[in-house]
Amino acid sequence: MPKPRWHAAWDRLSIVTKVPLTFAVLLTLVLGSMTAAAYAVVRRSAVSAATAQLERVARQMAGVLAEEIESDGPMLRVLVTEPAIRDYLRRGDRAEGEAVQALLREYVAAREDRLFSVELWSRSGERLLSVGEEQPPLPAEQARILVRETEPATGARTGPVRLAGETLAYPVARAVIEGESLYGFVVERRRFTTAPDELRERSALLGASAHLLLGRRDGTLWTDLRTKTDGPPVAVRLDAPQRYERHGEEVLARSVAVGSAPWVLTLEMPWPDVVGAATRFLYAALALSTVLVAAGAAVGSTLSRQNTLPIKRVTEAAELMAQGRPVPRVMLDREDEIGRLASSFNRMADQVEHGREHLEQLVERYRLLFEENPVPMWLFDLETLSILDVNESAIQRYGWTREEVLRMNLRDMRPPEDVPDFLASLTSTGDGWERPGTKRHWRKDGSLLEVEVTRHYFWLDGRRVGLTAALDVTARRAAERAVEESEQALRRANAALEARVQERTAALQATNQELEAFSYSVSHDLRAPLRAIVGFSNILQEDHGAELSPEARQHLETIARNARQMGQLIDDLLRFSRMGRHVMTTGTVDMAAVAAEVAEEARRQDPQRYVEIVVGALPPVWGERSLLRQVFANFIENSMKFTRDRSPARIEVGAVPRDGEVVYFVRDNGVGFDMRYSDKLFGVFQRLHRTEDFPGTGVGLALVKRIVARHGGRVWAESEEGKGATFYFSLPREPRRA
Amino acid sequence: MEILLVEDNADDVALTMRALAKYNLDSLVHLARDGVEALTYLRTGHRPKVVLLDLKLPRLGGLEVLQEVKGDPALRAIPIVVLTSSAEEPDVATAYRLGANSYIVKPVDFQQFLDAVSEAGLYWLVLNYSKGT
Repeated sequence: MPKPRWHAAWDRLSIVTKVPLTFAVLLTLVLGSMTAAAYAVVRRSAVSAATAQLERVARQMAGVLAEEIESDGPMLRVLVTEPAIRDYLRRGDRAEGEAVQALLREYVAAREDRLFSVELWSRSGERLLSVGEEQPPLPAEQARILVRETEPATGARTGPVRLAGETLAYPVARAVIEGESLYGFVVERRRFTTAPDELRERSALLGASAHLLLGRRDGTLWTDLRTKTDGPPVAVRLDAPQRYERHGEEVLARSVAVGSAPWVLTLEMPWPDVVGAATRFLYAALALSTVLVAAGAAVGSTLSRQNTLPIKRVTEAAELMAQGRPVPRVMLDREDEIGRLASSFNRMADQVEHGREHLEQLVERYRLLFEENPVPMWLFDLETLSILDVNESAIQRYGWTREEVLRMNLRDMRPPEDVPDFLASLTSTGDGWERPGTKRHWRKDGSLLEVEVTRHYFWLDGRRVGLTAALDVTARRAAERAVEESEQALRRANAALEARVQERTAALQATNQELEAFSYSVSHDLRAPLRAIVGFSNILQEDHGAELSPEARQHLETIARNARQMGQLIDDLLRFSRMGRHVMTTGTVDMAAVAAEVAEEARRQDPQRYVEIVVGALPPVWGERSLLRQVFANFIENSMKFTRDRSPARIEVGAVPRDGEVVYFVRDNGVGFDMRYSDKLFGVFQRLHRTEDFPGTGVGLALVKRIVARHGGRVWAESEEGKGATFYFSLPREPRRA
Repeated sequence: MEILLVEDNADDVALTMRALAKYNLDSLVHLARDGVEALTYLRTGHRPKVVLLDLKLPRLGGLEVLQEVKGDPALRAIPIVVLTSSAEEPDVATAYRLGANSYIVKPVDFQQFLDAVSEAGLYWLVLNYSKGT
């Protein structure tokens, strides 16, 4: 709802004005209403006093006049009883006229000062005789009224007044009666003896301005006792005061009857005189009120000044503060609310100044943060997309001058095909911040930068603005792409390699399967013919030996031996090849027990020979018992074989712990071998001795080497030809990690 | 007939017969030249005391014959000795899993072969006290 205009104007007024104005208005209202009430009372009493006085004076005057009218009553009463007059009237006897005239002349002469003349009238009011200074006859109507009024009565009757020169004249009539008979009337034509001035003096009691009027009751004549004049403009009332305007002047009037005469006496008093006292009272009261109002306003002004001046000082200081200018502290030596306001203000001013310093530091800090930031940054208007500010780094990086940048629009900064995305990214968010990803921006030289953009939105001077930080990632992106490409190349190479590995693995598996199929065939198909050869050679010898020459028998024996040899070879070969595919079942193996078991078996194989086999302390290891047994079996069998010519033959089995492993050995005092060929010892089909001397397939040690290798160990041998040999194998103490 | 010899190789048949002859068991032998013959023989009511079964046979292999015999309630009780050249571990394991009563690898050496076969024959025919003996 809009404020009324006065209200707005009032709000704009200073308190210094408002307080005295309020005082004045309040005093005016109070004093005004009091004055009005008092004035009403005073005026009412003034009017009633004036009315009473008017009536009193008017009645006094009427009394004076009535007294004059009545004053000569007895004389006239006597006169009407004069027989001469009666006779004159009764008979109309002119003869007696002389005497009557004389009588009347004497009567008039005696009272010359007040009578113009005396007239005798007939019963019908006709003037029969006039003695004295003759007066104009009464108009017929007046005469008729006078006669009619006088006739039945016994007293005198006064007629209407009239002006006679400067005097007032009036008739007084009295009937001439004898018994019941009316003969006519005696009419005195009187003049006023009471001086008008005397009456006026009386009216002066009411003040000089009071006005006296005398008039006929029928209103046909009005006089101010000297001249004819206008009467009241209204119908005259005799019972109450009247107020009207006459001759342009408002008056209070009181009319009274004058005795029994058909006259009216009206006393007029100018209205201002009536209410004069009240008016004077009003003026005085108004003057006093004005003084009081002025005094009140002055007091209010003083009070408000006393209180508002300090407030004004605070206000002015606050205005200075608002303008950001240095603020004087307001020092007031008082402890009321205003004093507290001032000290609060001072504290606030301190805080504001402190805050402003802090703010300036902050502004400087953020200006540095913006201006000196190595990341290109700019501030833009979100509506127009024009650039509002830009930092040095952006200028350096993009190549435009500051002026050029500030004339630019964000749309111009990027390739046209990127603009729709850019606009969409802007409208998608309101406040806060966003990281719309990597964008492309032009440099002045036409090259494109790849930048990672961060935008913050906020309000600045009533505008929505964005702060963009654009980190140049062109080089990084290029590097990333290069890395990506090389990674892809690597992945391709890996995939190709993988494919080749799989290919080879598949080929290997196929080969392996072929090998297994081959081994199976060998074990079946190769052994069967050998068995036949051996078997039938034996049958031939058994059944037909007697028929053969010793040479033929020898040949048969050779055939059988070779076939057996080949069978052995096949068996060894199969064992060796199976070893490669063997899945080990491992556990802790008591090597001493295994060695003892093998030694016992070896002795049993050739109970005729005496062989000294010594098994030392052998620490247990982790491995597959059956395989390790085979190792010992091979070595001991070997030693048995190569000590066949020794007596005593001696075989020693022992072990030497070394860090993390145990080295086992089998030592004999056999023929030994030439160390120059030791590298061939553990190869398949490699032999250092002729088969004729020491039978064997050349597979045994190769198998040993393979078993030990499967356990993560090594094999080697030492020898001196003719002095024995020592075969070593080392095994790790702990299970090998698969 | 007391012995059913299932063998396709004539040489091995001759050698086996010679081995069995050592204890005069050769006259008790019925020869089947492949797996089908062997099964036919068994399913026609013959109940040999032992079957000497080669693994590598034409038509129906030895392991299949073994599976059929040991899967047949009527034949299950007949002892079957696998007599083969194969010392391959999978063959041995499969044969025993299928219910073979013995598994003998034919040695190349004639003397050993004689000993092995004749002793096996002797064992199963004479020493083994089986059902129906």
